[in-house]
Amino acid sequence: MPDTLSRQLSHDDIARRFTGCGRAETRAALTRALRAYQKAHCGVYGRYEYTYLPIAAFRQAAVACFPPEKAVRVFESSRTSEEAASRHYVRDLGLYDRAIRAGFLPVFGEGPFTLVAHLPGYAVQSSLVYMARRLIEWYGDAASGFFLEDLEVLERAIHHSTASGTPLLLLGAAFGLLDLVDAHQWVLPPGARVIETGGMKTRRRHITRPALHAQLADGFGIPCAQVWSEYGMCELLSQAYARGGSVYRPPPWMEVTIFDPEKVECPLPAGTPGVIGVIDLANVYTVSAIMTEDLGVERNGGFEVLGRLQQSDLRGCNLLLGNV
Amino acid sequence: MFDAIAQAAARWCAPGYAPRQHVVQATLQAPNRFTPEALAFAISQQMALLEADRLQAWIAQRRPLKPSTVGVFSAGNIPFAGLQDLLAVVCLGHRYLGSVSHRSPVLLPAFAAEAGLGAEFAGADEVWQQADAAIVTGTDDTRAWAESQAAHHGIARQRCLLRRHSYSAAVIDGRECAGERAGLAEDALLHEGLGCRSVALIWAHETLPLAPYLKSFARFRAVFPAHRDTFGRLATQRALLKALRVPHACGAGYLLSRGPPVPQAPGHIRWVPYRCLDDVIQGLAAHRARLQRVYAREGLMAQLPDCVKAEPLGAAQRPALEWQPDGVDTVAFLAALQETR
Repeated sequence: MPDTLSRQLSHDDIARRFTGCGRAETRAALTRALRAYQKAHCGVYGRYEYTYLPIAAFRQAAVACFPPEKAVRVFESSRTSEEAASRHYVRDLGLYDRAIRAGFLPVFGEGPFTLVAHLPGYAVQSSLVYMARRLIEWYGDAASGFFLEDLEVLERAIHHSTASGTPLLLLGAAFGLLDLVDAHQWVLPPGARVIETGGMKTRRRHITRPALHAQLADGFGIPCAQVWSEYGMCELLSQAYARGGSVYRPPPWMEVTIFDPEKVECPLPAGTPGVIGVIDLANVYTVSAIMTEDLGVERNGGFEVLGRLQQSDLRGCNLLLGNV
Repeated sequence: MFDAIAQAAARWCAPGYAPRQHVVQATLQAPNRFTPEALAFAISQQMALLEADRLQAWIAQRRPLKPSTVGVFSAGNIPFAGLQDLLAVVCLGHRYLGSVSHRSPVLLPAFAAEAGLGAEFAGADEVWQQADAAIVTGTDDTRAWAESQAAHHGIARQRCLLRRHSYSAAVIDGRECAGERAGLAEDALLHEGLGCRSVALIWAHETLPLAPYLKSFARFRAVFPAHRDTFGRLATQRALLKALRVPHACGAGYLLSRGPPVPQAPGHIRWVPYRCLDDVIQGLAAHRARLQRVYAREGLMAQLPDCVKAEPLGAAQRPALEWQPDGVDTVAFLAALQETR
């Protein structure tokens, strides 16, 4: 039955249906159909002999099932001194919008929220900035918005949320948020939630996720359970959220598998750290199966992110990973 | 002390020496990428350096005014990483308190015990609690972690020797003899491309034929087969190169790709064509912050700028006792430790 289904599905069907694939069989059928379509239409993926395309491909080529010049938006990751930026050619922004909504709603609800975003170091072409803007448009009230140095935006949002009872959501890059709490002791209103999106765009320092959450909870005057995390990236259109802890729960159309970095697509059992592989069915017109450069571990039916698998980790020796 | 080290090293030089065999067996069972051949090479090469006179000349008269407890965090990516630190610390009269990587937990403690060095080994937390100076070798994340740990434990920054992530490069112009080509293969492949001295980038004159170098790589791999895990990693890399239509060449346990000077995964060597030596010099300058060493034939070494730490082809996996990672003299650092914390 699933095979029959996968043969019948077109990529446009998948684009319409991906958020509704609650059953494993349906998801498997969608995955197969999408892979067949992408292998046939994306040159780079068609030539790649395995399933999970290394994310590095997005830095080195146009990964798309359509002519890249027809993209309605190109999301770019930040560039490092050694590597080019990743580019995600988006044919249909509606897909991204649906993935954002369908991932956000079951976790946070419909709002309205006083939703403020602090994303220092992120460029306008970043997919995270786009996501934050859309969330503010859809679910934010009048006091919502972005801020960088202008801390009065946050102060006003706190005041407004306290006075109106509208829950406050503070979305921010992890180290940007840490800078905020380093500079001030904040007292967010009861029920406020902080969503850290990972990322070290502003500066690099070592901190574990539990320690990060503890510092943010302390600095914003909220319980640790109200510090949440978001896992997403330029190359993916979907996001996973960790609800007040470090275990991320992907939405039904996003499948996360941990792989042995030393072997070809060899899945690891729960509890064993490895490289995070993702199948994101929202990536209809690029490639849905991606081998990230993040280290993770499967735990309690979800996954934790342990850090970045960098060339330095591969070539050198990461003492920290030895302690996982 | 020097005599005890030299005598222990002399015993360990013999591959049939039972304690060495025991250590080799235990080390090969750890989750590392050591092969029996590469491990034997590394032990023999390192042990052969440890002659009493050489040790004496290396340490010379340098001594700290007051001994410290030096916490040493050694990497486990290549065999005997951290041996130089161990010897420097104990020979200068400091207390050595080491934390070894789970990838290579046996080699250093076993040799320290054999030589009667009085070195102590403990878990990371205990080392940080007791240390009043630190040497840390690892990735950028490890370095960041060490910086925060040192600050947390009140160890001043100038009492920490924190080594950064780095890699090495080679420059070739086609005038390399067969021995130098074999040396290049060893530089790039011996420890599966791991370690800061291993060659990750090869600047090669654009007219150079690849075949003689590939032949050297294949010959090297016939003697030093790749670790089984290397094949899996290279298979994915090769598939990606093929998909991206990046020119590449591969054989059993090695992979070369042609392109800009961007280091790839270990074992995957980037072949960077150049037109003239100025291109190379500019390229090396761009990588200066990350470049540990540059290897070239001796005639070519002389044409490289002084700021480049150049060594002859074939030297990468045969570091001298006194070699200075990141250009920092470990003995000088340890001799300068005077006041606690």
